[in-house]
Amino acid sequence: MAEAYCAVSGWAVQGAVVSLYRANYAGVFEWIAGGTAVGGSGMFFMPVWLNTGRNSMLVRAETSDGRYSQIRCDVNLIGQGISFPAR
Amino acid sequence: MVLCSVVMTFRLWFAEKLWPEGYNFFSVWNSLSPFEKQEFSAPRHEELFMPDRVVVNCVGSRRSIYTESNQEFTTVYEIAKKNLTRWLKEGQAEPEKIAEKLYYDTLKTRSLLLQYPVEMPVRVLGQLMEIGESAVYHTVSSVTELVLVPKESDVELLLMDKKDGTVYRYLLGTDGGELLEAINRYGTGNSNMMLSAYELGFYRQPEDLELVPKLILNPFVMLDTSNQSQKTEVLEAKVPFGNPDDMEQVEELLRLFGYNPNTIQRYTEASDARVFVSDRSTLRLYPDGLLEYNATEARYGISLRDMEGAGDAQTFLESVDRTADWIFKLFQTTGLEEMPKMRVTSDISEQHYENFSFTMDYQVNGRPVAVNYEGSELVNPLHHGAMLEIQDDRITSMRILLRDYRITEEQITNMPLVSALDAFSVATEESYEAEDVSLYFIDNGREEWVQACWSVVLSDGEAVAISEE
Repeated sequence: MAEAYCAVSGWAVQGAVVSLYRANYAGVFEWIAGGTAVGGSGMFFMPVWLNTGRNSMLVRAETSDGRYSQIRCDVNLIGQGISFPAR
Repeated sequence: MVLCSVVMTFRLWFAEKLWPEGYNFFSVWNSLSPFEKQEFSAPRHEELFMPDRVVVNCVGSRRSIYTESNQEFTTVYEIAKKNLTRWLKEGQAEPEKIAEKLYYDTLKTRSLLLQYPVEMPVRVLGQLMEIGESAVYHTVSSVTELVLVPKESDVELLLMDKKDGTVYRYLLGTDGGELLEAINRYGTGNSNMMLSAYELGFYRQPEDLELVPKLILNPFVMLDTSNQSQKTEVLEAKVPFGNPDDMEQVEELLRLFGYNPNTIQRYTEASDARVFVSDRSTLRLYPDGLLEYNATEARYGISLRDMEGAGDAQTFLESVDRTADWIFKLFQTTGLEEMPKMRVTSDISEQHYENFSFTMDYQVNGRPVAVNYEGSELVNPLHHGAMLEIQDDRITSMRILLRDYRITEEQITNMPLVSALDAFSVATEESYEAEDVSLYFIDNGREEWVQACWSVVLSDGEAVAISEE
């Protein structure tokens, strides 16, 4: 059940494709946001509705020449009234 | 019969103002008449210096943003004002200096953020709250944001002095219950997807040196993170004085400027402007609504002393009030049913009340109108709704784009915010710092329909409109 809103944001080189994945109950990462190329500003932000409990997420940025970068982060939403805007 | 003809002649002279320009016994006598005094009106400074928006931050990713177009704005602002009054009356002479991080971290706690469109001198804030002398004036010079944080048995006020960037924390010594209740009540979450540049990390250079962003944002800039297109209303921009044949309206206007409609010299310029000239000043009225006035000398400017039937203005706000009163009389002359909402938008931190210049801009439905009047070979450009110069309680120069904006039922779709930021960055080689990124109405002075588009306000005050074309 979606409980709280946050956004995953950051800088990336122009043209990089940034996507956000979240682990499902079986631990498999599923795509939830992003997937479009970053524009000239280098800024990207992807809206995320956090689920109650553990949100295991993975942010992946990939350029057309095959270079990539991945960051994993876990956000625990332990109840209403607490949010953790991920960076 | 003789007496009767004398009286009739006298009446005719004064009713039609049949005397030449300049000093004249009859005009002086007429100005002394108690029946000709200007009407008194309530001070206008409060609405001219209102915050642009009030942000109510709640924990639990709830955030509400109110502008003047929202009913809640007034209630929340009144509660904030109570606390600000207390701060100015009883603020410590030596408040605690704190780290910038603690200041911006208030965005993640229960707090109330007031954002002003211009740098507000604290002394002017004090005058707005009708506070005389204050210890705060000696510590802080000007601010653009004020943050109120309710604590268990106190209220904290955090601010950054724009003069030197020092961040101060004041303890107001009052119960935070009312403020907390207001935050809980009005933090309904109408802007949950609006996150600040601080929360998103766009307020500083990225750690990766390979990335050189073209735009770094003020930490308090609120960004729509939904990545959705934004709908905005379309305005109809009506031009007052659009009908050159309405002689009655023009005569009323001329009287407001102190001209005698029967004797003033008039002609039409190559730019199609109707020009009215006396040996003391010139008034130009362009068909597109631009009004220009220039006095030949400061002593011949439009006197503001009669506005409240009193003597010289004693404070900057009193001077601004009188000027605003006069401008609103100008709008009344145009026959507007409702007075337009305007804000002072120029830096007033170094202004002196006897001699100063300032700009004002329109605001419709809580959204600023950016004027981008390009002019021509014969007409200078104008980038504000109004530009005025005041010397010794007289308006000596003014340029106003007279407009009567009406909200239509039509709407347009604006691109998502991130696309606008990308378009800005692609169009520039240099890097900039921005104070605001939001949707502004853009009036170029030529179109009947005024639409909104994304605008980036740079740190030097210049606004850059981002067009989709």
